[in-house]
Amino acid sequence: MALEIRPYDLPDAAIFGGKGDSLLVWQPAEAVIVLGQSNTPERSLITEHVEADGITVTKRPTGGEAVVLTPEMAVITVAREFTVMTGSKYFFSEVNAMILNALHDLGVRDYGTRGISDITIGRRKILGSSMHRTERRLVYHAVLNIAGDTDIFERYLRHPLREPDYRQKRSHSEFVTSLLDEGYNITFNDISTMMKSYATTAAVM
Amino acid sequence: MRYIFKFPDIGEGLTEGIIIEWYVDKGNTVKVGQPLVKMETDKVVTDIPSPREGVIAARYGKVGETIHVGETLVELEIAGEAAAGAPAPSTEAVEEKGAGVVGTLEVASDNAFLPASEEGTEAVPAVAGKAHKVLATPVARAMARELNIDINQVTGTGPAGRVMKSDVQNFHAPAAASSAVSTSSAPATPEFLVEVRPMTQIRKSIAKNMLRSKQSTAHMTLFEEPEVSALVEARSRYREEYKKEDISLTYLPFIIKAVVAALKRHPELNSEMDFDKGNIIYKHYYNIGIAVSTEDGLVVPVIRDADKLTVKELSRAVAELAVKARDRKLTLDDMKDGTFTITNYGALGGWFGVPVINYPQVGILGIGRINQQPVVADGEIKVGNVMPLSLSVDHRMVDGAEATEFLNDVAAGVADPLSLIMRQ
Repeated sequence: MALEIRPYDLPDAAIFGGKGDSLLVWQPAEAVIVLGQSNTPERSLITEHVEADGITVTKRPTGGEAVVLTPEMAVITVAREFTVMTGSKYFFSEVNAMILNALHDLGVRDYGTRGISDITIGRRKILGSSMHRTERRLVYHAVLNIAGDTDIFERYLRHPLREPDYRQKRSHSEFVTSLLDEGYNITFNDISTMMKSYATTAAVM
Repeated sequence: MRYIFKFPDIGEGLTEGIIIEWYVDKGNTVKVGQPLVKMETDKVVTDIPSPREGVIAARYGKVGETIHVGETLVELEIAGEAAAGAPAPSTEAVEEKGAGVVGTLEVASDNAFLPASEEGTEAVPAVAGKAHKVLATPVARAMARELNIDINQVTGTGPAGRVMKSDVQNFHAPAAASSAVSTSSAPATPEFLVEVRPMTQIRKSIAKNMLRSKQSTAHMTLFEEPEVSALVEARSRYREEYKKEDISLTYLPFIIKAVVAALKRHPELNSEMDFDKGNIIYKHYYNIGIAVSTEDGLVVPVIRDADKLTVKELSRAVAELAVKARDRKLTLDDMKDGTFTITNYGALGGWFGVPVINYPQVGILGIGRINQQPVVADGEIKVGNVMPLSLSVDHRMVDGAEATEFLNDVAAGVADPLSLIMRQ
């Protein structure tokens, strides 16, 4: 029996269909698998494990590859409406800079950006992001792994069809890390507070 | 005639996308900007809008299929365009094709008007006559300008010899390599001597806006030094009274009053230039931006409808914005739609300045610290209180005489605060 893909009803769902500027930093209540727009369960998931564990599967409005969300992660959703539309990569860059500054202020070091929009510590990924674009609005959607066990990715996710050059065919657990695994004892509230403070001062002049 | 619309690069430099959903079908009429198809690149899901009004004559690709940049998405039947058999369009007609597409799209393809073709058959682009300038995509032209490359020197590898973005990049490559060698030969800075941090969003915004202002306007700055002892006395007289209502009375509300009064007499300074359309937009509302220094950088919250507020109400508004700025609670609504800006560097001990206009506004007034200094009044030298004023205006909009009169009016207002009330 094919896996059921539930409609996207996670806390930031309203932002995707909404208007204006928004920032939401939220914490998943339970494990959920989120497919990218072009993903299918058959190609992206180890369906027998997903079914056996009864994990909810949904599909977000943005692109990119499938992810597993757990309560040990922070999901950051930023929407901005533009009078003069900007390029997606510039918005990736802007929001990522905001996140990097937040991480820096929380004591994280050796960070960087790789691929199209990943944030890394060393050569390992701690944040992946994707975007939804309409005529005058961009919605940035990212998952930051605060303390999630990367083995969960191995259990549910197949190796992605597309990967950034720097991944170099590494497995999920070799490729992804968490702030905790990198030695940073940072909480969801730390991230949320810092992001909100950066966002409120971000729109100037 | 048919208009062939091909999948454009949506700004990430990616070469392909997957069709997620078609919004239109053959035979549908579409308008400019109407979404045709939802596409996904590696990271971005985006609606691709129609660049032209017309009827969908053919569409290419099924849901789930990968489309490469430059491949045809749809053919549009355009009504009222040149009939079949008319001369092939000029290359400049091709250049406009990105105009209806969202964002900074690189038009990497050669969408063009073509004789009608059957769905699924490969259309051959019309070959333009001899061009009066080199064929190039808009992005390639922009990049060449930015890199100071003469695009006529670049060999195009695109269709019909069109210069593509990659051609400009490749043309630039030798210089870049040379530069890299030069840079690497310089002694490296030890890591412990520097700290590299990504620019904050606020710093990026400040940088972008300052540069845009300097590049888009013709700055001119005037200075004035009104004697403001009456203002100092007025503030001193009412300070304690205001304090009972938990209001800190500063000079700023009086200055705002003086500015608004002067703006009403000189509407050019409360306007905006729409140079592209050849219009000047006069604003019949007075939203005064107040430049505020925060730990993160400069922000400019706005006091809306300042002309309708009393000194007491302005005092409250200024205090509220200052608290919000300090607590990082300013929202976009607090900072947009300003019509004129005041920057009070005097509060930090500054004297004169050359303020940068908060573009697209036309003027900004800088306030220096009030100094006690000798002034001549009635033929005698007295100790006066002098407030340095610096007014920057966009000289495209405001002539020197107008700016001088405006500044004189502001100076007169702060020199005689009672007049701000009596002449309101």
